[in-house]
Amino acid sequence: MRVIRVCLLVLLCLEGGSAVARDPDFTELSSLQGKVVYLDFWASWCAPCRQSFPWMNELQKQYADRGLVILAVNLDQDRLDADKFVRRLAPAFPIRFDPDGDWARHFGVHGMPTSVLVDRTGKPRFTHIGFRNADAAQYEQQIQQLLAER
Amino acid sequence: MQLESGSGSLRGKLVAASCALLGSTPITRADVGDTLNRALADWQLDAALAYYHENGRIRAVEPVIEAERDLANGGQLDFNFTFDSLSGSSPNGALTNRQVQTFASPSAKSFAQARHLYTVSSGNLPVDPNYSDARAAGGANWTMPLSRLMRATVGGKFSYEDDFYSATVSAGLERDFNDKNTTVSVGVNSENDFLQPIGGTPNPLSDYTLFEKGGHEKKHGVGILAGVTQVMTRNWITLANVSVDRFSGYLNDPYKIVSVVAA
Amino acid sequence: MKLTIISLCLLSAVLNTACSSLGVEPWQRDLLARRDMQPGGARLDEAIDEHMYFSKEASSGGRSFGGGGCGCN
Repeated sequence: MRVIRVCLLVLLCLEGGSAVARDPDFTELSSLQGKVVYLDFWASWCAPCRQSFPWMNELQKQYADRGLVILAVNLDQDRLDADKFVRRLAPAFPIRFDPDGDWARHFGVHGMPTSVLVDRTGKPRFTHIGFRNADAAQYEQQIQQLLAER
Repeated sequence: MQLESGSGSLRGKLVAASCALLGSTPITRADVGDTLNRALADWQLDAALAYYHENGRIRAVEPVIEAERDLANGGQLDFNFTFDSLSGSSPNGALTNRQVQTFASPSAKSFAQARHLYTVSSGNLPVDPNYSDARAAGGANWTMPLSRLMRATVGGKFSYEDDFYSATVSAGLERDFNDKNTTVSVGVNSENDFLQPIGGTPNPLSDYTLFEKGGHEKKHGVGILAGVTQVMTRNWITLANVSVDRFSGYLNDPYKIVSVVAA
Repeated sequence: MKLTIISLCLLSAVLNTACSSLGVEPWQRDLLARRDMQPGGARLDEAIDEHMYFSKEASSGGRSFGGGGCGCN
């Protein structure tokens, strides 16, 4: 009898409860229409993110006055880890926290880090999975292309 | 290029001249340290020391060092080097006997020419008390990404002792599925071992006291490996793998003695 | 009898959840990114263990490679 109870418990745990999904709130993104948004999904444990932050700081300096907005969405489960990372890398752009992954799911994050380039009309145009310094030049070209569009 | 005689040391001028040829500024001692630091900064070094001891038997001291480097394209290179030193007593394979038994060192060509002899008294397990061996081994592995979800690895390793050396090459492929929750890997390897017992390889099942020894031997092995790694939950991953190896050639231990006991 | 119940429960759990729903979202790999949670994380320890195992058993294998980790890039 005890065995059956233990087994039922194991079954329940494995089949698990999925959290009730709330409709994610994207009002912030819609308020940025007219600007080119570089949406970067990152986490403190993601090694390539450490390389991408200094590069994004450079982007901010160069293109912010031309209408580029960088929004870094953090996906850490533990807020403290994210804070430590932010303190070390000193990003010049705003950080948003999405521990439940609503934004990540909406934008189709399939790897870490993921960056989504949203054009001035609010449509996601380019999605990049992963970050490598060698690819940064290509991303910059795409940003320039979207900034040029009116 | 003219060498001017007169002021300044010749050596300094030669250094400056060669640097000018290479198109770089003369390096001072401080710069060399800096360059070394920067070069080493790309590498991760790891070292360990294993100390193994069996009561009254083998003692092994094994330092290992490993150097790993992440490559710009997402690949990885790693090198490792091991030095093994064994000493102590090791059973020679012969059975306990009521009579006193005398054995020679494994490399001996005769009792008279042996480096050392050892006697085992009645009722004791024959053990060579002078067993000592040193081994140097190293390996390298290169992982390269073929795409975001696929990686290939090639590697090799070698092992060297004064009477045995081995070389292995391996290759593998890895592919991720289900948003990298499942990884399937396959690999193959080929090993070649060369045995060169000092004093020659004893003829199998020959009389120990006659020291009938031959030449060198070798063995060859091929293996395949297949594995699956599955991420179960945020704190649980499961791995399962199967490997099949096939060896052929000299599969014996040339130093072991077999006792023939009359019923 | 007990063994049958246990194995049936485990089997149904695996079949019901199915392999494609096992796993985590790409952004939930924080713990898997830890060095000690990666199959190749303790390489030197494994190399030493494997050497001792081989010396005693005259065979080797069953060691892991690939998979797990942070899944970045």
